[in-house]
Amino acid sequence: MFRKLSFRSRLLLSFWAVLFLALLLPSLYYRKTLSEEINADTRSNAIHQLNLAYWLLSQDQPFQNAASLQVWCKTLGDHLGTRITYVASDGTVIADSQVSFAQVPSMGNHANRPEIVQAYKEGLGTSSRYSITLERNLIYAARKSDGGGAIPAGVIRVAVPFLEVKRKLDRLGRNLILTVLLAFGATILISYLFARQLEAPLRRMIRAAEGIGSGDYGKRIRISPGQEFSPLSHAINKMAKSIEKQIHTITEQKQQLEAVLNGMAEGVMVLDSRGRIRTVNPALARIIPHPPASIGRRPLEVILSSELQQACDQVLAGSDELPVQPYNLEISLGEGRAFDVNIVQLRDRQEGMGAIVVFHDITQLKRLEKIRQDFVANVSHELRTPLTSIKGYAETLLAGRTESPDSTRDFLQVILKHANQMSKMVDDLLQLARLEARQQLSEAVAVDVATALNSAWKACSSLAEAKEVRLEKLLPEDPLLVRADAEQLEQVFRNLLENAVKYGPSGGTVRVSCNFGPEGVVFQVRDEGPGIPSQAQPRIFERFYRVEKNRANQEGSTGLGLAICRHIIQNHGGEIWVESPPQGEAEGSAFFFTLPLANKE
Amino acid sequence: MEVRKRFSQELDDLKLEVLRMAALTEHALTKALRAFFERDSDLAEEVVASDEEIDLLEVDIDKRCLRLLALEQPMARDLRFIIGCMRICINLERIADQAVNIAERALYLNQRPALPHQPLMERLAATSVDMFKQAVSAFNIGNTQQASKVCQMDDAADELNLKILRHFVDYMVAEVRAVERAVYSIIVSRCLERCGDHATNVAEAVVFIVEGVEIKHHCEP
Repeated sequence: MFRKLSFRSRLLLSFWAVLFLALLLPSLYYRKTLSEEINADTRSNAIHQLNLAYWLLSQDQPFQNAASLQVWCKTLGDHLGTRITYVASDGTVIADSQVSFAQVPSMGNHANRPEIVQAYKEGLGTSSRYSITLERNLIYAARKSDGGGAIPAGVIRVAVPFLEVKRKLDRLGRNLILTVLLAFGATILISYLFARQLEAPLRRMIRAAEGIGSGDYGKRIRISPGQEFSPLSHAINKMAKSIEKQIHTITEQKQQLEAVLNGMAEGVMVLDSRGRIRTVNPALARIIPHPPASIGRRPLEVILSSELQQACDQVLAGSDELPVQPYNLEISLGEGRAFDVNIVQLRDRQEGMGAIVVFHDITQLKRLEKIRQDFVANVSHELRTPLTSIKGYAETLLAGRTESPDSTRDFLQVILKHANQMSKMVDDLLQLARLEARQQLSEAVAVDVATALNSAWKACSSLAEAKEVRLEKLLPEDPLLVRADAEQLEQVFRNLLENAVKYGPSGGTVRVSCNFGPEGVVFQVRDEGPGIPSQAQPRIFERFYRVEKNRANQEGSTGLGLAICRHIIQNHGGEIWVESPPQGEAEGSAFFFTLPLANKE
Repeated sequence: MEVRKRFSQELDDLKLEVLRMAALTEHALTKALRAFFERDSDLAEEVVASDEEIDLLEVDIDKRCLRLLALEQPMARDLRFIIGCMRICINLERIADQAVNIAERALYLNQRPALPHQPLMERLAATSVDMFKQAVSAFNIGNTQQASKVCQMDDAADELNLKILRHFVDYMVAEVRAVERAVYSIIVSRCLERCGDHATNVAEAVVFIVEGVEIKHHCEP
């Protein structure tokens, strides 16, 4: 129970116990010796009075009868202030100073009173006792007397009241207790103050230790409450320092790790032994909308891919003994996104097996790979088709199987057409190569858009007339000047208009309009054609890409027009894109491109 | 306590299995659509082949649910969850069947000359797939708002289906040679519309699980 008390209370209690003993024991001892002294003093006083009475008795002898002895006793007793009794040797009381003569014979036999017994035996006897006769504590002293005259031999006894002594003793005792209490009170106050003073540095030390415990590792204990405590405060300081150092190291490592994780382009997911997500990095936002919300869930609940879940389960089920084998799989999520996923086992001594899942985004890689594959296939197809025709017709001519000069002429026409087609393709390829190599525009001047548009429309007028397609120009009345290469701008318009006429319905309309955006002018070329499938839209600006692969080779088309447009616009610092169907329409497609405005100086 | 813990683990596993089935179904549906739009017959073959796995999974989930119902005698939300999972996996299986239907139509159409580009069909496909994804996501996170949204999207899908039908009827009148192809395309459109209906059923099951109310046929709790 003592241990449960606070340090201060314990200190106080021990103080008080020591004080109590130190004050009480001497006072008790003192009181005891004092009462003994007083007793002895009273006793000797009684003996003195007895001797005096005895001497007087022997002087005043002889007495005539018992009554005269009674008178003598009364007189002497009154003078001395004591009780004087004369007891005969058979124990009967003959005279008593405090009792009237008439009552004396009714007093009890005194023969076996201790002081009288002692007096017969040793000549002198003393005793202290309660007297029934006088109803008080008395000290008795008795002495043998030979008697004389009418008085028989017996014992003379003096009784001094104990009352006086007791009162004195009590007064002394009260004073003593009061003194002790006073001293006790004073010392309690002083000891309380002492204890408090001792406690204050201890409290500071506790506060410092608490501070360290709650994370303020920079705190140190500077004052020690005493020598005994200095090893403790040293130990606490040392502990705090080592904790601070370790926390610093851990924080640094954690920060480094976090920086690495956050800086990674790959999405990272850490799984615990139960297969639930423990940590994610921000790059994962490219796969799942809100990565932190996924913590505590399982991979399948976050990324809807059963292969991924299966792979994670397999890795987590792997035993401890087997060497850690990174698991690799490829998953494809919606919208053509593809990820290369690496799953590595993670050994954790405390929580068992976990896993780290790393997602590499290979969408772009896959796209480029596809472009490259398609390019090779398309270019060979584009080159082979005219070549096959040329070869076939030339062989027929060489074999001389033509029947008439007319058909010979027709054959040669076909050969020429295909040769032209190829030459056009080669020209386009060369132009593309030049555009790619130059990257930047060399001769950008202010060009009037209307002029460029008109000459572009003129270039494809033959085709437009054949299909009865109309051009609708929705340009501002004032001459619109853009910073561009005139020839290249005309080519962009020509390619776009050509496509619009070619793919649009007969008797349709091609609309050219413009808008002013923050980056310059946004031109729009809109047709009423069937539109472009959404999955083909990002790819139509690739070289030789054709929306409908099975369609026979388009008349006069090289498959490079849009690629050239894109390069020209990019070299002008603009952008080109397609919307199909355009916003708010059910059909058709619209090509947009931006160009910077020319400063009107 | 131990029994309770094991039961909740079982429910968790059940959810994961349903999600696994949803993942496979989504995969099949998107693959079938790519096979149709990009005229890729290999993908269509894959869809037809992968249907068996989904069928097996459905049977497995059904067994799981029955076992849980019989052994644990669940109450309240747990009971609704198990019943809801049973309903969801029936609809998932039907969506997977529709994906197979689409893939089979694609196999036929890819051998014939292509019909003109069909932006309406693309929109219907996007709507159906979106409905499916939203319904699964609503089930995954127990979001009834998202589930109600799926129900509302069904109207758009139905409307697109009608538009496509009208478009192809007009087309068939003009181009007799393409009647067969057009009919097959109408079937694809019909399949997509059915996918939307099943996705709606999934969403309704989610509302049933979370709130314990039936919103069948009227979209409102």
